[in-house]
Formats: sequence, C-alpha cells, structure tokens
Amino acid sequence: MSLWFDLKYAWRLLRKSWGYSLMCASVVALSVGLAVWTNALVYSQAFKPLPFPDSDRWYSVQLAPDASSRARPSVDAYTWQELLKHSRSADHLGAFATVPMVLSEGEATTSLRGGAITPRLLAATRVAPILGRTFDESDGQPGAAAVAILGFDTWKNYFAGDPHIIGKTARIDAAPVQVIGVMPRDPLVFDDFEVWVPLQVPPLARPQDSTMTVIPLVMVRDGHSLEAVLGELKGAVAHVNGDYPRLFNSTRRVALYPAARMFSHNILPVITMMSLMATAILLLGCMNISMVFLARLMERSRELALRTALGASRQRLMRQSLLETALVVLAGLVAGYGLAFLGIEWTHGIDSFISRVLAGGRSTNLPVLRPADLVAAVVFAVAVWLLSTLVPAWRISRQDPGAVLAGSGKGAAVRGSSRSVGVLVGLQVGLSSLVLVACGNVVLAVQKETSKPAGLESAGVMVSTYPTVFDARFSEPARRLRYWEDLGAAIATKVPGAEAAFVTAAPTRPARVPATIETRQGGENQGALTLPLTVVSENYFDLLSIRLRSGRLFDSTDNSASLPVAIVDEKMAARYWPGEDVLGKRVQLNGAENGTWLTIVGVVSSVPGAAYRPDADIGSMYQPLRQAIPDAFQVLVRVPDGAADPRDALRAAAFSVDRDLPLHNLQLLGEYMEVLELSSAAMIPVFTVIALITALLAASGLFGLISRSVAQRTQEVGIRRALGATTWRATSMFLRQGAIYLSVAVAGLALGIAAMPVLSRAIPNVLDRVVPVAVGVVLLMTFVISTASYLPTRRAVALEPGDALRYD
Amino acid sequence: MATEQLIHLQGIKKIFSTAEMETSALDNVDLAIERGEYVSISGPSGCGKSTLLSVMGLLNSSTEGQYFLNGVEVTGLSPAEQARVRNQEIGFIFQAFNLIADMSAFENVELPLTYRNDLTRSQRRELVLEALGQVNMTERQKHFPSQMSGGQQQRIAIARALVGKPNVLLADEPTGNLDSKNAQLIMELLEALHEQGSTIVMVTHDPRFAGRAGRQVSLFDGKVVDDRRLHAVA
Repeated sequence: MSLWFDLKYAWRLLRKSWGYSLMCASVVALSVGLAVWTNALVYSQAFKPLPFPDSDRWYSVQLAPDASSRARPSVDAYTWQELLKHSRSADHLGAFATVPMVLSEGEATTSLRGGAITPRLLAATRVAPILGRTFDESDGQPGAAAVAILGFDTWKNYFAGDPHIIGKTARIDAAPVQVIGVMPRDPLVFDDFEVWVPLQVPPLARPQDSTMTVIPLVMVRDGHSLEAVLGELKGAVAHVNGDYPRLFNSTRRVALYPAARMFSHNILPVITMMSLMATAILLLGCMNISMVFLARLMERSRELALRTALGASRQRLMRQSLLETALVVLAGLVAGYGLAFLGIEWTHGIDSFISRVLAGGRSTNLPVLRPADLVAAVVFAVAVWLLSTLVPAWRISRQDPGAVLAGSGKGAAVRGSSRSVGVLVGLQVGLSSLVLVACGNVVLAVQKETSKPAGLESAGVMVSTYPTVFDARFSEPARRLRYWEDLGAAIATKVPGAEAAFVTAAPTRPARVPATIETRQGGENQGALTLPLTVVSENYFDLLSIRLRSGRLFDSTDNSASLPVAIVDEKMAARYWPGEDVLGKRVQLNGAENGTWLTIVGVVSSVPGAAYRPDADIGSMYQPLRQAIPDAFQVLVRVPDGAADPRDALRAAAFSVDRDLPLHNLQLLGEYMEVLELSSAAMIPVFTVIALITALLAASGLFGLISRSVAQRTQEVGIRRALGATTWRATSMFLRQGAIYLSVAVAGLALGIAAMPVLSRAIPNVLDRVVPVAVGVVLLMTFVISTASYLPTRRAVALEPGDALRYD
Repeated sequence: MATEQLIHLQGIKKIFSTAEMETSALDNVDLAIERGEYVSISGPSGCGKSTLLSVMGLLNSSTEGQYFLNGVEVTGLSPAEQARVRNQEIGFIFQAFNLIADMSAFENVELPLTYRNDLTRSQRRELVLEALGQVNMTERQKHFPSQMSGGQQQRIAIARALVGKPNVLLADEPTGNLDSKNAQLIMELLEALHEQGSTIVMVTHDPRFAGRAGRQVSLFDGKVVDDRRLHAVA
C-alpha cells in the first residue's frame, strides 16, 4: 500500500519538474538506445552463429597477400587445389563461389545469384533440402550430368512451387540442368543463393590457369586442435609461395576465422570501438544522472531528514529515491528501445539499398532486435538506474537528520562530496575527450577517404554489376568480338543515342594480375608484383570522361595483329616510373611464364576507386579489349539525358543478340559506386551521432557538475572575500580547478589517440587528421570547462560577501 | 496517583568532534520523564536544548550514557529499530513545520503511517482523519502547505506527530515561526493534547511558554541546571 503512496508522490515530483525529468529520461534514452543498437550490431557481426548444427566448428580459410595486408576470404583456384591436397586433420574442407547464372524459360531470361559449391559442403552443414537431395561426390566429377538445387524463392517464383520439380530439367547458362533439390527459405546457408550447382574446379597445373576464386571453409574435427588444421593449410600456402615466387609474395599467409565472421572480421575493430564508446556513453549518462539525482536529493535534504524523523528507515529512503528515478529510467528505457529500433531500421535501410543495387539478396548477418536485446535494454537501464541512484540515495540517507532539521544541515550531508564531484568531473572530462577524439578521427578519416573525387563522370551511365560469362559457344575470339559489336549496335538501336563500352571490371574494382615491370636494365623480378588491370573497349575513357594526360588512348587498330599495348593512370606512372617518361615502357603480364609484354602508349587520369580499396595507392592499368579478348565482361552504357529508365531496353538488346547471355543487374553507375563506399561512409553518421551525444552529455554533465561544485563553495567565496580576497582571487580559485580538469581532458585525449592504431586495420588513415581533431577536442573541452566554471563563478563572486556567507 | 517512567536518560553525553577540536553539547545529563508529563526545556542559545531533543528523538545518538524509552534501552538499537521507534513511539513537531510542499495536508499526515506495514489504507485514512480532527483541520485536508497559514501548517504538523499515537510528542520551538496569535493557539492545542493524556517535551526559549508546562528543565552548557515541577502530572 505504501508503495502506491511513494509512487504517487514520485509521479507528482516528476510532473512538477518535467524539464528535469525530460532531461534525465533523454539521457537514459540516448545511452540505452545506443547501447542496445550497438549490442544488436555486435551480436549480428561477431557472435551470431551460422544457422546449422556445430557451426562453431566451421572456420573461414582466408589469405593475406603479404604480411601487411588484410586477410580476405577469396582464394585462387590453384591455391585452393593445394589446400585440398594438404588437408588431413579437418573434418571437412569445402568451398563455394558466387557466380551469376542465367535461367532461361521460353522467351524469358533471368539472372540469378548462383552458388557453386563443393558437392559435400551442403551435406556437411546438415541443412536438408525441403525437396530432393543435396549434391554428392559424383555430381562434382568432370563429365557428370549437370544438376542444380533451387533456392526456395526461385522454386516458388519461377517454377510456381511445383511439388514435382525434382528430376525436371531447367535451362541454366544455356544448358539443360536437372533439378535435384529445393533448399528451404530459411536458414540462409553462407549466402542468399537463388540456385546452387556443384563447384567443379578442373585440375590446374599452375596458378596462371586459375580462372576463378573460391571461398573455402573448413570444419574442425570435434575435439581436435585448430592449430593442426592451420599448420597443414600454412604448409600448403608456403609450398605454393615457394613454388611461384614471382607470382606470390613469400609472406602470403593463411588465417582462419570463425565462419560466422567470414566477411565481418575486418570491421570488428570498428564495431568493438563502437561498443566501447556505447559503454563509455552509458557511463557518462550514469554520471550525469547520478549528479542530477544527487543535486535533486540534496535540494530535498530537509524533506528526507523529516522522513527519517518520522520513522523512515534508510532502506525506505533509498526505496523512495529509487522509485522516483525508476519512473524516469522507465521512460528512458521505452524511448531508448524506440531509438534502438530506429537505429536498426536505419541499418536495414542501408542494407536494403545495398542489396537492391548489388542484387545481393537477404543478408545473413543483418542486425535485428531480439528478445535478448530487450533484456539487454532492461539490464542497461537497471544499471543506469542503480549506478546513478544508489550512491546519491545512500549518501543522502546518511545525512544527520537532526542537524538538517535544525537548519544547520547545510553541508553536513555532503561531507566529502566536493571530492566526489571532482572525481566525477575528472572521469567525465577524460572519458568524453577519449570518445570525442576517437569519433573525430574516425569521422574525418572516413570523410576524407569517401569524399575523394570520383575521377570519372558517372551521371547517366548504367553498369551491369556482375560479369556476363561467355559459354563454350564463344570459345573463338572472333565470335566474342562479333558479339560485342552486335551488342553495341543492338543497344544503340533499342536506346537511341546510347553508347556501350565493355570492361572486365567496374571502374573502381579492377582485378590484380601478376606482372613484371621492365626497367632500364631489362626485365627485373619485382617480387610477386600484382597490378590492378582492367580490360576495356576503346571508347571506355571517353564514355567515362577519364582524361588523357599523355600519349594516346586505345583505338580499333589495337587488335590481336598489332603491338600489345597498355595505358596506365597517372598514379601508377608516378609510383613505378617516378620522374620518367612512361610512354614506351613495358610491363609483362604473368611474367613467370613468359607472358605478353605490353607497351605503355598512354597515361590517363586516375580513378581513386572505392574507399579503402587495398590497391588504391597503386593506380590502374588498362588493356584493350580487342587484344585481351576476355571470357567475361561487364557493360557500361551512357544513356542520353532525359531518357527513360533503359534497363528493360538494355535487357531486350542483350536478349536479341543472344538469349543466354543476359546483362546481370543493371544499375546506375553512380549508385553502384555509392554502395561500394557505403560500408565505410555509414561510419560517418554513426560516429557523428556518438560524438554529438558525447558532446551533449559532456556539456550538460560538466556544466551541472562544475556549477554544483562552485555553488557548494559559495560560502567559502564569502569567507575568503570577507577575509580580504579580491574578486579575481576568488575567481581564479575556480579557474585553477578548471585548468586541472583541462589537463585531465588532455590525458583522455592522449589515451584516445594512443588507442587509434587499433582501428587502422579497418580504417588505415584513421590518424590522418589527428592534429586538427585533437585541437578541436581541446578547444571544445576548454570552452565547455571554462564556460561551466566561469558562469557559476561569476554568480558566486557577484554576491555580497555577507550574502555568500548565508548562501544555502 | 501511580506514575510510569516513559523517558529515562542516564549520564548522557554528546560530543561533536572535528579534526581539530571536540565540543561537548550535552554533559552528563540525567533526566526522567513520566508518562503524561508536559515538560519544557529551556536555556540560552547553544546550551544543548535541541541536541537533547534530538537524542530523545533518536535523531542523534549519544556519545555516552543510557537512554531508556518506555522501559527499553534504545541506545544501542539498530538503525532499523531506531526508525521503528521514531515512527511508532515518538511524534515530532518542528519549529519550521517541515511539511512536504508537494503533499496535501492529508498526505503529509499520512506519511508516517506509510512507513508501517501493519495498516490498511482504510485504517490509515481513519487515523489521519482522526488526527486532523484533533487539530481542527479536517476541512483543510486537500490543501497544500503553500495554501495554508503558518498556524495552519503547524496544526497539520502536530496532526502528523499525533497520527501514529506516539508515546511522546517532542516539540522543538513549535511557536518559533509563528506570530503571537497563532503561537497562542498552538500552545492551547498542546495543552489540550496534554490534558487528553499526551506526554509532551517541548524545547522553547520563550519563558512565557515554558511556564505553561508542568515541569521546567533548564540547561546551561549542556548540563541540567534546574528541574522544577510546577503542576502535578495529569
């Protein structure tokens, strides 16, 4: 019954000072919301298991091309073949590769996300198809009948959910393929593939014959050591490195990561940092509210003393305090969970945009709010509640009620509180500086990286984001050349005014090929040098407005009968031929095998590429389409201004040339490039919000804390002035205190900068703008501390000494 | 008439210590108060009147000595037990009323009852109305302190002290914040309560009001220097 009495009173107090209640609830909401959102993000990226039994025994086999580079999940087919040969201890070693596939039915052709998977890999995951069977070893043998397993949505959308689909034939990649199974819609195994086929890697005699990369996965035998498996794989990679020193760096290394973190392990430092920042903000929130609560309770010290006199035990006083703050925290919890929900929706929005542009299907590690996150929100809120209330409530419950009620309690209840305030201010200043400097560095570094000029004109250009792969019908180079000419003409017919260029990679994502650079002394081993190379049709540079700096561009005379030529961009020219005239210099592709020597005939402006592209500082090299005749291509189409969405017309053009060679996932080049930047660019608003919350908490908290600290010493000011201290002497007392806080801010800042290298794996340029960030944070903290110190100080010293002595 | 000892202080000392010095507020105070007595405690400022009342009310503990309340030694009680004693056996009346501004008169009076676990809401209501009736403030039960005069506020404070039916009322300068007319009314109310059987210990520095108590205890420098009974115990 008395609980209701206390609750009613608490509610009345909160309503009475709604501004204070709103402020505290907002602090709780921001702190809890950020913590919950980060928690969901961390879980999805770092802890969410793969959706099949014993998934903790699965590891992603990744290769780092040299000692200083990040490990990546894709492995060239030759190395994969060697890994298979050397693996003895693993329970299973399998791989998959993402390959665009073409499903043809009557007059319709559809691009599908295809997964080529080693035959026993699906069975090893123990995810059963809902119809039919998974692949077995025989399905992967050369010459085996072509078989496929359909994804659930493919089965529903393209085969009307035919329950008798098993055994029927579908036309995939221009060939009949027997359907042997249908996968369930959930769970998503590895990726949201729309069709699965057995991965067939023909025996390769040398790395140069690798035409594909795969993503290997290893299942460690139950109870066996991971080190044994890793040792075998390391041995295999060292063996390949040793055999092909001109292709592979000797420090190329293999690493194993839990399969659940296959694609996210590189961003874990960023997520961990976000998580730490969220914790710091939670702490800052606790400190803020704690001081506000303490100040509120101190204002009510007489009331609480009275309650003591009326028989309230210490526990009852603490309960009353806890009830009052519980209402605020409850409101903050609800709002915080709402904020976390909005954060998750924002994350989904980004993912949905990426998925639409890349046609990537559903994400396997999309963050969602789980019941556990609600529990986490409650735990965070309870932590804020108890941390922020117990100490003030305990302190106030220990006050001397007799003294307070007799009117001389001023200060009696807050013995030692000046020291507590000092410690809290110090903690808040240090922690805020640390978080601000970390956020500032991340935001400015990423902003610098993502705001680089594109180096090309993407407006009005469409790109097929996945390569169209020629099948066996196009084994003759002349047939491919004729196809491109026909496709170019068909596009011009279907979309009047449009112009098509053909490339082997989107402008910002060139593939790297082994190469040797000729020096003045002749051919020289460059030590497993790989250069970014894109094969392009001759109109590529004009179509994208990439500028010629010297020499010439490709033209139709650069064909198989003429001198093999190349164009490099100015970044590559400056890197490998500094201060030299690059025209006429030569580069040998696949140098170890007496590959083709390309003579450089032109230098063009550089295209920086996606943010944090590993080879961004190397530049790019281009080879003419008519000389390289690649077996796969992507198309770039510049459509005239004001033209309607040309996707359908472009698909129709491709269909009219060859129904089995569709253009995969046509997107605006600008949007495509934006998506490639997005995983980095998304850090900007996230860390900006964290920085803003921190700055807000720091400003409000410090102002409250320092004001309170100054107010507590108002009587001291009166005494000092009564004893002859000048106004300046009284003021300087607080300014000195501010200087101490500022030195703590600098210490926090230094700590933050010292922690920055942890992020350099994900954000290599994280310290690029460390000086302006540090100066900015120091200026901000100086402003906050000096304002928070000066304004209340001015009030204190403006009082007549007599008034200050009576100050309550 | 048989008397019953309600409060018995034996050798009570209270020393306030700081790092530099010690100040003796009460020095070997022996005092026995019988049930039904109306005792005034007076003396100059700083003589220890309020400290003595705080010790009696268990708001401060003594440094030395023994304190028996209703025959039970309360000196060494746990904080929780002390809270129970304050709640059920003692009623406080303060000079500054100490009403809670955000509670109505009814709620202020009800407050001490909410610290007890043995009363239902209707029982609490009954007791509150009874207490408000004793001080003639029933009609003001919904008013907040800011809507009442000083005299009315002190009546509510007295009702709050009475509501738990304590063994003793401790009043610390109950008229100190009132004008003479209201002070007179409050004194009459206390006298009426005394006549109804209440034990009252009142600290006052006003000799006119001290003289209206049945017994006058005078303090000086923390010692009882005079203890006179003027009227028989009611």
